[in-house]
Amino acid sequence: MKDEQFTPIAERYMDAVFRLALSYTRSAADAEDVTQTALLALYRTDTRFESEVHAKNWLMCVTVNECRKLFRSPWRKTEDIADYAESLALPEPEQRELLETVMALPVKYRTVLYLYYYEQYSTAEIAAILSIPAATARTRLARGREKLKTLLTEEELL
Amino acid sequence: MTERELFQKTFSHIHAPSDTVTEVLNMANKTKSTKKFSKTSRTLLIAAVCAALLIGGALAVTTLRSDAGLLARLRLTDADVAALETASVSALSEPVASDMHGGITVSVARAAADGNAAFIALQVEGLELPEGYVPAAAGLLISADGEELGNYGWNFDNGLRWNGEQVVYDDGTAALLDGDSFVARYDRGDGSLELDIDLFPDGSHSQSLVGQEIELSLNELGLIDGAQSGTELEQTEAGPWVLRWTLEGAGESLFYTLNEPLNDWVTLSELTLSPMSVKLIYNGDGKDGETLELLPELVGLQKADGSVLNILGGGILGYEEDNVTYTVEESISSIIDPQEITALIFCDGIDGTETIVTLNN
Repeated sequence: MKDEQFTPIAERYMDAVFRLALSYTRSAADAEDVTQTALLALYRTDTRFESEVHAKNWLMCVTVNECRKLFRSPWRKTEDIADYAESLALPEPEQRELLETVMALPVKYRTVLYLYYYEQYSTAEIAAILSIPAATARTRLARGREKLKTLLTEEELL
Repeated sequence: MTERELFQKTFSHIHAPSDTVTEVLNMANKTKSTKKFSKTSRTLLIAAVCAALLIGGALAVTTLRSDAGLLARLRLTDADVAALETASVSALSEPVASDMHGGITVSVARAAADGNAAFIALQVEGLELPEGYVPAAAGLLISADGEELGNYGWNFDNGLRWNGEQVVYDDGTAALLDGDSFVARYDRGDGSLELDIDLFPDGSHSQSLVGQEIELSLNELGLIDGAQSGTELEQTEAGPWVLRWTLEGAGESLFYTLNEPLNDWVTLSELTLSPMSVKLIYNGDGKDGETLELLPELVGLQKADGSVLNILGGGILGYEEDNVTYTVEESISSIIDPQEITALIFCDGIDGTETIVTLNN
């Protein structure tokens, strides 16, 4: 991909890639690495994108695959998400509570929740991005919402 | 406030570092322009050395992945071809198809496939490579029995190999270092270049290609100027070079039912050993959470003589949530006789400890 083609797409979607990677890895440092790797893959791909949405969906798939690779590495270090939440200086306490609560969920729930609530993907689209059956995506979303709601209600955020 | 509103308000504060795109462009242009291993590749090599040191001793293995060229390590010797024929796996040792445009001839130099994996090496003759330039290809389309494949990866073989201890050239001599990069050798010794293609670099395929007619179309060949920061192909020659041939064979494999615990929550249920790849089926114990990502990783195959074959990498092909079953396929660094493999070496996904599963042939 040429620089002039790459740059606008990368700038537009790097935050989405980073947020998905953060949801998946629960580590800002890992998310930064994954974002760079995913964007580098975009730069090098020969895929012909029909639209920017197509490019974004492709990037999200690559991001998930890179996160999975990272999880399989024996050298991966864990990071306290509370420190990262602190660094964001979120304006309202419930935002920090939400972030920490979501990040405390198992990865299979928090990634689906992020893709559904923030990126507003359908469960069919989430299934395609995560390479899982649509029924599994629906189940994870339902269970994730249930777990999140329980935890947030306990925190009296909802 | 609804859950969605709270998500939107919260996650909108999360941003990638502002210099991300610049960093990626620097990485991309450095890789394209140096005609050597990039820093990333070098890191992988160092990681591979660390892996060898961590696992240690006679069972030392590495996890060096695609940077040295997947097919480069599948360079077929006469013995390999004989082994492949014995195993009824598709293999070529002589070019079977070629096409010429603008004085550049592209031929299928080697190809090998089993039930799980497929690699192709194209010989490119007539593409002049001036000092400071890197060969490049664009517009590659491959179909099998008329169905277009996707997601394949390709790169020109840069002549650099990892021999388990250090980076070497084809002749076994230590690779030359220029600063922190290894100096590449694209010329195969007779003026030709080699374009290596891994048809399923992430294990994304669902069926064997053995016995299918392959049609490969390569639209553009050219050069990238190492002195420029861009990645524009220069001095290009337009094709398409179109090559057609059939991958013959049946791709026989060895199948095992193992039910071997790898740690306190996952069991290796089934194993299929093929000449170029391995398929594993794991079964969890229903543990909730991140089991998919924390599966023990297959890092080596041990032969009866104690030597260990590396795993090039693969992907998770399937996951059944109801019974927590995972299917994973991996490519092997060389062609094997499945009967020769006596043990599998796993690295734990959490603490890196090693587990060896012995096979009873």
